[in-house]
Amino acid sequence: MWPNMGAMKTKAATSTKRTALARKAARKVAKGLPAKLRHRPAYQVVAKTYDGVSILRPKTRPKHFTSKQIRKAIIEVENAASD
Amino acid sequence: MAGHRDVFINCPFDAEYRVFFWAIVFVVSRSGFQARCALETDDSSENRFERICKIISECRYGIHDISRTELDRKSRLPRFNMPLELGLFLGAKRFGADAQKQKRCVVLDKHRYRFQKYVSDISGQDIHSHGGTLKKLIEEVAMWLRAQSRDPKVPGGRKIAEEFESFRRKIPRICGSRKIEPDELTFGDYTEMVVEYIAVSLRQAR
Repeated sequence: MWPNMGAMKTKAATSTKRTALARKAARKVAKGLPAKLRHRPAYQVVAKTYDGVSILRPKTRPKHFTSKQIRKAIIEVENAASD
Repeated sequence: MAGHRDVFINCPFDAEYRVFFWAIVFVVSRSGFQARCALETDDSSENRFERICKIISECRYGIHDISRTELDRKSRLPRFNMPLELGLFLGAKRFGADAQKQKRCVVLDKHRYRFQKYVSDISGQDIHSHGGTLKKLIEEVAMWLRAQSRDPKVPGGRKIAEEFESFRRKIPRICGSRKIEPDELTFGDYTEMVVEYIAVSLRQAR
């Protein structure tokens, strides 16, 4: 039994149309919201300092080392300085 | 949409100014903000101007140092990138949507009223001066960010200047252990180093 391709195509087209309409509606809602309530980018907190300031993860990734590698290097230098 | 913790840094990126640029990035991270600048992507397929516009649109705050007015040694012409990017930032705030209108920026020059001789159109703005000194630059940026964050936990300029000096002395050793020279660091490398340093050393200081 072959599937009804015509019906499937119609269904897919309706689904795409519905998604597009939903997105359009979401944009419209967001546009009407005050700036304070709109989506804000998420920030990743790396650490909190002794005085309570949250330090945020940079947006740009490093090229020459990983976070773990540079942290290890900093710890080594800090330990050597305190010796 | 303007990121409420994103700070656009508009300053020279040459070797002569590098320490000042490094200091600004340190202050931004230490004050609990996220440093952004035109150097953050290295994609030749992307138009540089488009990239700068995109970053500016994403940043709520801006730090603009327009102190570099000297002529380029080779071409004998001045650099106009800093005033252009300042204009873009002010334009986004002036003509942009609601989120863009919330933009805030600080404009820095060597001397307080010197800018009136070369960009007199912004003479209504309150310009901060750093006198070409690192300590004053850090203090000005730190105090401005502290005021913007409205967070009493953010330390003042002198404290951050001390912390930066301590960090600056360690940069060659940290880079050395990763077999890289300080002048080879990319913006991504440097910001990661700053954030990890603050996370390690200021947590240890407890």
